[in-house]
Amino acid sequence: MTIKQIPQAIVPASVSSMTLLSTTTLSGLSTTITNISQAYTNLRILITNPFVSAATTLQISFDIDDTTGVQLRQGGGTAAIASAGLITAANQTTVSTATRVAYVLDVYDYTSITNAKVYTLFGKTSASNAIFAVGTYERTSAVTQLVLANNNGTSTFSGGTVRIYGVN
Amino acid sequence: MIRIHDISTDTIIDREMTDEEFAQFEANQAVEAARIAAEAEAKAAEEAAKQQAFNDAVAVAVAAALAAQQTSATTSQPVVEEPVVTQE
Repeated sequence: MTIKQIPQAIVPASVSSMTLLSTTTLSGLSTTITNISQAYTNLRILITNPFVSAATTLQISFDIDDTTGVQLRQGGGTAAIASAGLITAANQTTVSTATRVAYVLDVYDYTSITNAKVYTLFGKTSASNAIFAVGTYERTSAVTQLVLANNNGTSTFSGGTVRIYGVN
Repeated sequence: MIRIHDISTDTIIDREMTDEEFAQFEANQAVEAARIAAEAEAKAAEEAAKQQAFNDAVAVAVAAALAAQQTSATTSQPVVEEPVVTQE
Protein backbone atom coordinates (compact mmCIF):
# COMPACT_ATOMS: atom_id res chain seq x y z
CA MET A 1 0.00 0.00 0.00
CA THR A 2 1.36 3.38 -1.01
CA ILE A 3 0.59 6.65 0.71
CA LYS A 4 -0.54 9.21 -1.75
CA GLN A 5 0.10 12.90 -1.47
CA ILE A 6 -1.31 14.44 1.69
CA PRO A 7 -3.73 17.25 0.81
CA GLN A 8 -2.44 20.66 1.76
CA ALA A 9 -4.47 23.09 3.74
CA ILE A 10 -6.47 25.33 1.49
CA VAL A 11 -4.92 28.78 1.58
CA PRO A 12 -6.48 31.66 -0.31
CA ALA A 13 -4.22 33.45 -2.77
CA SER A 14 -4.48 36.63 -0.77
CA VAL A 15 -5.88 37.52 2.59
CA SER A 16 -7.06 41.02 3.34
CA SER A 17 -5.67 42.59 6.43
CA MET A 18 -6.37 45.55 8.64
CA THR A 19 -3.48 47.08 10.55
CA LEU A 20 -3.90 49.61 13.34
CA LEU A 21 -1.75 52.60 12.39
CA SER A 22 -2.59 55.02 15.16
CA THR A 23 -4.77 55.86 18.11
CA THR A 24 -5.38 59.53 18.84
CA THR A 25 -7.37 61.23 21.58
CA LEU A 26 -9.39 64.20 20.35
CA SER A 27 -8.51 67.47 22.01
CA GLY A 28 -8.81 71.19 21.50
CA LEU A 29 -10.34 73.26 18.75
CA SER A 30 -9.05 70.81 16.16
CA THR A 31 -7.07 67.61 16.05
CA THR A 32 -4.81 66.91 13.10
CA ILE A 33 -3.34 63.50 12.42
CA THR A 34 -0.35 63.76 10.11
CA ASN A 35 2.03 61.52 8.17
CA ILE A 36 -0.39 58.68 7.52
CA SER A 37 1.48 55.71 6.10
CA GLN A 38 1.15 55.28 2.32
CA ALA A 39 1.75 51.53 2.46
CA TYR A 40 -1.86 50.38 2.26
CA THR A 41 -4.69 50.30 -0.27
CA ASN A 42 -7.52 51.81 1.76
CA LEU A 43 -7.98 53.51 5.08
CA ARG A 44 -10.56 52.74 7.71
CA ILE A 45 -11.01 55.39 10.38
CA LEU A 46 -13.06 54.77 13.51
CA ILE A 47 -14.15 57.75 15.57
CA THR A 48 -15.72 56.90 18.90
CA ASN A 49 -17.32 59.04 21.58
CA PRO A 50 -16.18 62.45 20.36
CA PHE A 51 -16.98 64.81 23.20
CA VAL A 52 -17.61 68.38 22.09
CA SER A 53 -18.26 71.41 24.27
CA ALA A 54 -21.40 72.42 22.35
CA ALA A 55 -23.64 70.76 19.79
CA THR A 56 -22.43 71.36 16.27
CA THR A 57 -21.50 69.62 13.02
CA LEU A 58 -18.43 67.45 13.04
CA GLN A 59 -16.21 68.17 10.08
CA ILE A 60 -13.38 66.11 8.72
CA SER A 61 -10.98 67.23 6.04
CA PHE A 62 -7.86 65.96 4.35
CA ASP A 63 -6.51 69.44 3.68
CA ILE A 64 -6.43 72.28 6.09
CA ASP A 65 -6.23 74.83 3.30
CA ASP A 66 -8.98 73.64 0.98
CA THR A 67 -11.85 76.10 1.20
CA THR A 68 -12.59 76.31 -2.51
CA GLY A 69 -15.41 73.80 -2.37
CA VAL A 70 -14.28 71.96 -5.47
CA GLN A 71 -12.00 69.32 -4.07
CA LEU A 72 -14.50 67.30 -2.15
CA ARG A 73 -18.11 66.46 -2.86
CA GLN A 74 -20.57 64.75 -0.62
CA GLY A 75 -24.08 63.45 -1.12
CA GLY A 76 -26.50 60.65 -0.49
CA GLY A 77 -27.92 60.45 -4.03
CA THR A 78 -27.16 61.85 -7.44
CA ALA A 79 -26.79 65.44 -6.36
CA ALA A 80 -23.43 65.54 -4.68
CA ILE A 81 -22.70 68.94 -3.30
CA ALA A 82 -19.42 70.71 -2.98
CA SER A 83 -18.65 71.00 0.67
CA ALA A 84 -15.62 73.23 0.87
CA GLY A 85 -13.25 70.38 1.39
CA LEU A 86 -15.11 69.02 4.34
CA ILE A 87 -16.77 65.75 5.14
CA THR A 88 -19.59 66.75 7.44
CA ALA A 89 -21.76 64.97 9.95
CA ALA A 90 -24.57 67.22 11.11
CA ASN A 91 -26.30 67.12 14.47
CA GLN A 92 -23.17 66.16 16.29
CA THR A 93 -24.21 66.67 19.85
CA THR A 94 -22.39 67.03 23.10
CA VAL A 95 -21.90 63.45 24.02
CA SER A 96 -20.65 61.22 26.69
CA THR A 97 -19.69 57.61 26.34
CA ALA A 98 -23.25 56.76 27.33
CA THR A 99 -24.53 58.32 24.08
CA ARG A 100 -22.31 55.99 22.08
CA VAL A 101 -21.70 58.30 19.16
CA ALA A 102 -19.42 56.66 16.62
CA TYR A 103 -18.45 56.93 12.98
CA VAL A 104 -16.71 54.81 10.42
CA LEU A 105 -14.94 56.63 7.60
CA ASP A 106 -13.55 54.51 4.77
CA VAL A 107 -11.28 56.12 2.20
CA TYR A 108 -10.54 54.04 -0.88
CA ASP A 109 -7.36 54.22 -2.98
CA TYR A 110 -6.14 56.96 -0.68
CA THR A 111 -2.61 57.03 -2.03
CA SER A 112 -3.65 57.73 -5.62
CA ILE A 113 -2.36 60.91 -7.16
CA THR A 114 -4.55 60.55 -10.23
CA ASN A 115 -7.89 59.12 -9.17
CA ALA A 116 -10.61 60.66 -7.07
CA LYS A 117 -10.60 59.08 -3.65
CA VAL A 118 -14.05 57.72 -2.84
CA TYR A 119 -15.13 57.78 0.76
CA THR A 120 -18.07 56.57 2.79
CA LEU A 121 -19.01 57.85 6.20
CA PHE A 122 -21.62 56.28 8.39
CA GLY A 123 -22.44 56.33 12.04
CA LYS A 124 -24.49 57.83 14.79
CA THR A 125 -24.19 61.57 15.41
CA SER A 126 -26.30 61.90 18.53
CA ALA A 127 -28.80 59.98 20.63
CA SER A 128 -31.39 60.30 17.88
CA ASN A 129 -29.53 61.09 14.65
CA ALA A 130 -27.51 59.07 12.20
CA ILE A 131 -25.56 59.73 9.03
CA PHE A 132 -24.73 57.91 5.86
CA ALA A 133 -22.78 59.92 3.35
CA VAL A 134 -20.66 59.19 0.32
CA GLY A 135 -18.37 61.41 -1.64
CA THR A 136 -15.13 61.92 -3.44
CA TYR A 137 -11.96 63.73 -2.61
CA GLU A 138 -10.77 65.01 -5.94
CA ARG A 139 -7.44 66.63 -5.29
CA THR A 140 -4.61 64.95 -7.20
CA SER A 141 -2.59 64.22 -4.12
CA ALA A 142 -2.61 61.33 -1.72
CA VAL A 143 -4.37 61.51 1.60
CA THR A 144 -1.63 61.99 4.16
CA GLN A 145 -3.45 63.68 6.99
CA LEU A 146 -6.80 64.03 8.63
CA VAL A 147 -8.19 67.12 10.34
CA LEU A 148 -11.12 66.86 12.73
CA ALA A 149 -12.89 70.01 13.87
CA ASN A 150 -16.34 71.45 14.48
CA ASN A 151 -17.99 73.67 11.94
CA ASN A 152 -19.01 76.45 14.30
CA GLY A 153 -15.32 77.10 14.86
CA THR A 154 -15.76 77.40 18.60
CA SER A 155 -16.69 73.98 19.98
CA THR A 156 -13.74 72.12 21.40
CA PHE A 157 -13.02 68.44 21.82
CA SER A 158 -12.38 67.13 25.28
CA GLY A 159 -12.28 63.45 24.51
CA GLY A 160 -13.00 60.80 21.96
CA THR A 161 -10.79 58.39 20.10
CA VAL A 162 -9.69 58.23 16.48
CA ARG A 163 -8.22 54.96 15.29
CA ILE A 164 -6.75 54.70 11.81
CA TYR A 165 -6.35 51.33 10.16
CA GLY A 166 -4.49 50.54 6.97
CA VAL A 167 -6.40 48.05 4.86
CA ASN A 168 -4.96 45.76 2.19
CA MET B 1 -5.55 74.66 21.83
CA ILE B 2 -4.70 72.78 18.65
CA ARG B 3 -3.61 69.14 18.72
CA ILE B 4 -1.30 67.68 16.09
CA HIS B 5 -0.46 63.99 16.17
CA ASP B 6 2.38 62.89 13.91
CA ILE B 7 1.73 59.18 13.70
CA SER B 8 4.99 58.38 11.92
CA THR B 9 6.82 59.23 15.14
CA ASP B 10 3.85 59.08 17.53
CA THR B 11 4.58 62.65 18.59
CA ILE B 12 1.72 64.72 19.95
CA ILE B 13 1.96 68.48 20.02
CA ASP B 14 -0.65 70.59 21.82
CA ARG B 15 -0.06 74.17 20.87
CA GLU B 16 -1.81 77.47 21.46
CA MET B 17 -3.63 79.11 18.58
CA THR B 18 -1.70 81.52 16.42
CA ASP B 19 -2.83 85.15 16.40
CA GLU B 20 -4.60 84.55 13.12
CA GLU B 21 -6.33 81.40 14.41
CA PHE B 22 -7.31 83.17 17.63
CA ALA B 23 -8.77 86.10 15.69
CA GLN B 24 -10.80 83.63 13.64
CA PHE B 25 -11.87 81.83 16.82
CA GLU B 26 -13.11 85.10 18.33
CA ALA B 27 -14.95 85.94 15.12
CA ASN B 28 -16.53 82.49 15.16
CA GLN B 29 -17.53 82.98 18.78
CA ALA B 30 -19.34 86.19 17.88
CA VAL B 31 -21.13 84.46 15.00
CA GLU B 32 -22.04 81.51 17.19
CA ALA B 33 -23.32 83.76 19.99
CA ALA B 34 -25.47 85.64 17.47
CA ARG B 35 -26.78 82.37 16.08
CA ILE B 36 -27.66 81.06 19.53
CA ALA B 37 -29.37 84.36 20.46
CA ALA B 38 -31.35 84.32 17.21
CA GLU B 39 -32.37 80.71 17.85
CA ALA B 40 -33.48 81.56 21.39
CA GLU B 41 -35.43 84.57 20.10
CA ALA B 42 -37.11 82.50 17.40
CA LYS B 43 -37.98 79.82 19.95
CA ALA B 44 -39.43 82.39 22.36
CA ALA B 45 -41.48 83.91 19.54
CA GLU B 46 -42.71 80.44 18.57
CA GLU B 47 -43.70 79.70 22.18
CA ALA B 48 -45.47 83.06 22.45
CA ALA B 49 -47.34 82.39 19.20
CA LYS B 50 -48.35 78.96 20.45
CA GLN B 51 -49.57 80.44 23.75
CA GLN B 52 -51.49 83.17 21.89
CA ALA B 53 -53.08 80.60 19.59
CA PHE B 54 -54.10 78.56 22.63
CA ASN B 55 -55.55 81.64 24.37
CA ASP B 56 -57.48 82.57 21.21
CA ALA B 57 -58.84 79.05 20.88
CA VAL B 58 -59.95 79.05 24.53
CA ALA B 59 -61.60 82.46 24.09
CA VAL B 60 -63.48 81.26 20.99
CA ALA B 61 -64.60 78.10 22.79
CA VAL B 62 -65.80 80.02 25.86
CA ALA B 63 -67.67 82.53 23.69
CA ALA B 64 -69.33 79.70 21.78
CA ALA B 65 -70.36 77.99 25.01
CA LEU B 66 -71.81 81.20 26.43
CA ALA B 67 -73.68 81.89 23.19
CA ALA B 68 -75.09 78.38 23.25
CA GLN B 69 -76.26 78.83 26.85
CA GLN B 70 -77.96 82.14 26.01
CA THR B 71 -79.72 80.66 23.01
CA SER B 72 -80.95 77.77 25.13
CA ALA B 73 -82.25 80.14 27.82
CA THR B 74 -84.26 82.35 25.39
CA THR B 75 -85.83 79.62 23.28
CA SER B 76 -86.87 77.10 25.90
CA GLN B 77 -90.45 77.43 27.32
CA PRO B 78 -91.13 77.33 31.06
CA VAL B 79 -92.73 74.06 32.08
CA VAL B 80 -95.86 74.34 34.19
CA GLU B 81 -96.71 71.23 36.02
CA GLU B 82 -100.45 70.49 36.18
CA PRO B 83 -101.70 69.21 39.51
CA VAL B 84 -102.61 65.58 39.33
CA VAL B 85 -106.25 65.00 40.29
CA THR B 86 -107.28 61.56 41.25
CA GLN B 87 -110.90 60.42 41.71
CA GLU B 88 -111.75 58.10 44.46
